[in-house]
Formats: sequence, C-alpha cells, structure tokens
Amino acid sequence: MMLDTTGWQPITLPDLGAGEQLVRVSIWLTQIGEAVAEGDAVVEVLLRGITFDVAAPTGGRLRRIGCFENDVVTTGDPLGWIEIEGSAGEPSA
Amino acid sequence: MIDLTILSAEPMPAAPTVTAKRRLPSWLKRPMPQPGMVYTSNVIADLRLETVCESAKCPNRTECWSQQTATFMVLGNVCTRPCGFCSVPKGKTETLQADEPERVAEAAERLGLRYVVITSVTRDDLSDGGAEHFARCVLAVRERTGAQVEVLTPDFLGNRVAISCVIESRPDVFNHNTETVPRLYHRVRRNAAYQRTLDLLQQVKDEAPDMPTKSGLMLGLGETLDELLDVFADLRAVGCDMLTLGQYLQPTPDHLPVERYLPPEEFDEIGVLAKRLGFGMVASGPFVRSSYHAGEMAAGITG
Repeated sequence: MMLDTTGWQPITLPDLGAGEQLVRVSIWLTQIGEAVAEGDAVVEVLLRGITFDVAAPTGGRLRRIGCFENDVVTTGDPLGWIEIEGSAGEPSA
Repeated sequence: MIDLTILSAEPMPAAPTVTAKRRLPSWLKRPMPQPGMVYTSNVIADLRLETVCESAKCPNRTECWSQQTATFMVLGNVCTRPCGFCSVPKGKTETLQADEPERVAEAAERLGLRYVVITSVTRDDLSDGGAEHFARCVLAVRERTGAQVEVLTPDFLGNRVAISCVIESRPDVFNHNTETVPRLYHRVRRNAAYQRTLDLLQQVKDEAPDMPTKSGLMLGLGETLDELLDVFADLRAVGCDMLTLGQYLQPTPDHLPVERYLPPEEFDEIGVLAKRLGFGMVASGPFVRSSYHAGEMAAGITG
C-alpha cells in the first residue's frame, strides 16, 4: 500500500556530530494531527547524556511518525512527515 | 510516496503522547549544530589534531564547534590513567609528534582564535610527563597568532621541574582540574592524588604570582555540599582564582554512573557559595566544563 505524500516534508535528523555514538529517539513533543510552525521543536533525540530538539522544517501538521521512543536513528533518517500548510496533498487508502 | 508495506505489516500503532516520561532532565538540552561546525571539523581533520571535545564526548561540542572554537588535546589520544569518568582511550600510548605544536598553531590561526585552550592526555610514561612538548605548543600558538593561551594540564606526577617548564612558557591561565572531592578520588580519579593537585596549583602561584590559576569539579558523582565547600576552601588556600562546576555525564555504560542530576538552580546556589569564598570567577551550571567559554571567563579575571 502506498501513501501519497504529495505536499509532505520529512523531518530529517541532522548531523549531530555523534560519530560512532548512537542517537535515539527520546520523546515526541508533538502529536499526529497537531499543527506546528516552522522551527517548532517536534521531537527530542538523545545522544549519550544530552538531548537535542529536532525542529519542524516547515509549518503544517504532523501527519506521520517514522520512529518511536528508543529507536536508534542516524543522520538523514526521516523521523516523521509534516503536511505542508496549504498543501493539496491527501493520503490515499 | 511512502511504501507503508515496508514500515509495518501491522496497522500503524497509536502515536506516543507528549506525556511519556523523558529519559533525561529537561535542562540537559543542547543547541543544534550550526554551519560553523563543519568548518571547525574540517580544520581539525585536515591538520590531524585531537580535541578533548571529541575524545571526552563533551556535550558542548556542537555549540563550541559551531562557533569555531575547540580545545586542543596534545601528546596523543591515548592516556595512561584509568579515570572512571573519562572516555579518552587508555592503553598503548602514541609517539610524540614533533610537528604537533605547529599544527595546533595553524589550526588556531585558521579558526581565527584569540583565546586558545590546550589540554592533554596524561603521559606518565614520559620522564617529564610531556611538559616540554606542552610548553612548545604554547609558544607556537602565541608566536603564530598572538592569541592568549590557557593550559589545562595533567598533574605531571608532581614533577616540579616539569611543572616549571610549563609555567615558563607563560600561559595566560594555568588550569588544572581537581575533578571531585577527596573521598571519591579512589573511584573517580585513580592514580591521582588530591594533595598533588593542590600542590601543583600552589607551585604555579609561587613561581608566577600574577598568573591566574583555575580548577574544576564535576558534580553528581555522590559528593556532599560540605565536601564541596571544603574543596573550595582548599583551592582558595592555594590561591586558585577561577572555578568551574559542571554536571558529570556518563560518557559510556562502562564509565561511572551519574549519581544525581543537579538542577540549574542548585548549580547557581553552589556557585554563589563558592564566590563568597573569594574566587575571582566562578562558572557553575549543568554544561559548564573546564574550558567552556574560557576566554570570557579569563577576561573577567584579567579585565
């Protein structure tokens, strides 16, 4: 089953300079369906004793979460997807 | 398009809620890396330098490197001490590289640093503990950049001649960390001695009375407030001018666990108590480290 993500933008994990250290999802700060503005903290990731807030790359609504608490993630991974505000894209069944 | 079949064969589970328990205190948060971090990383890699930022997994690395500053670590990347808090590799040490002082100086120049912090691993295998090499690094940086230089040294096993060698290179600040209270030394800082730390700081004041001295401790390892105050008093007794207090963070599961996360307010209170004892500058906070914003701290002492 394919999901039409037209108008959706991924929340991508940036390079935290972690090297060989594991980065894990700590906690989602936004719920699916919730509206966010560009730059809002949407998910907290954990890197050995410190946390980073990953920000929404665009304004819109959080539509899909791709990883969950304690999942290991790496640079470039899509952590979730935001439907861009005003986008015409709609998920299909 | 997202292929949902590869995400899960089961219906998408309910999204986690924001009421889920955080894994760490909310104040242990760092800013995202900025573009400057890539430039700093490239300079350090290009010049084959070591930094304590990387080796010790400093939580401020993204912030400091984003601002194009770093703390250089000389004498190699392998330490001869098995300290329980530190993730710098231990084991077979590396041969000293004669061109390291020049490479450190070049990095300082390329990063445009006006205040340079140089630290090192502990080299108990060298007769002078690496003091002469350390001093050469100070001189090379100053000659090439004119920058102020702060040294953060090991204890050189109390070798007074070695310590004098570093003092004679005239660093602008002489920093040597106490790390923790005496009761915890056997666990936190094996092969070190609390009195040896105090003696080193005293020697700096004896030989260079105008040279600011600095020391730092990690909190959250099980120390009590009374023990901290005793250490602060001991440091003041040997003329220590500046103090840094930061939260201990466990670098890997193989290192000492965190006994307690102190809230920022408690760091503030302890900092106030320390200041009352006469330190010229005190930096106290969860992410404070020995060389964090070192230039600003030194400016507060030297004016």
